[in-house]
Amino acid sequence: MIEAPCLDCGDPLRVVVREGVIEDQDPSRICTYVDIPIRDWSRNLPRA
Amino acid sequence: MEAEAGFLSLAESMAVMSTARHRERLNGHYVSSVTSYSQQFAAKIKEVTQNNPFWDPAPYLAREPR
Repeated sequence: MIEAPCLDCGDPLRVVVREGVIEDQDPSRICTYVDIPIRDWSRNLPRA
Repeated sequence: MEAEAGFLSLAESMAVMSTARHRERLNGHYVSSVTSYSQQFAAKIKEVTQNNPFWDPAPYLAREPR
């Protein structure tokens, strides 16, 4: 089980993963966000 | 809006981050293998994002160290 705060709003996130399969997640629509298009990653790799 | 293309669901992120490019980072031969790892990563990105231009890795791959 992984518990962490959302880096945007601070709300708690919980994910249960077993053998590479997401068994449970709370909230149900956890997402990740990248604001730099992949074509620009090499311009600033530490922040990509 | 291009910025909206930056969102990936948790499952999509997991699929992308599960390629060898991330999984093998502690491998002693990582640097010498990174080109093939990056090709797998790029293929998975294309599959997961359905060829969304925001996620087009072609220019990024062109700059990978050799």
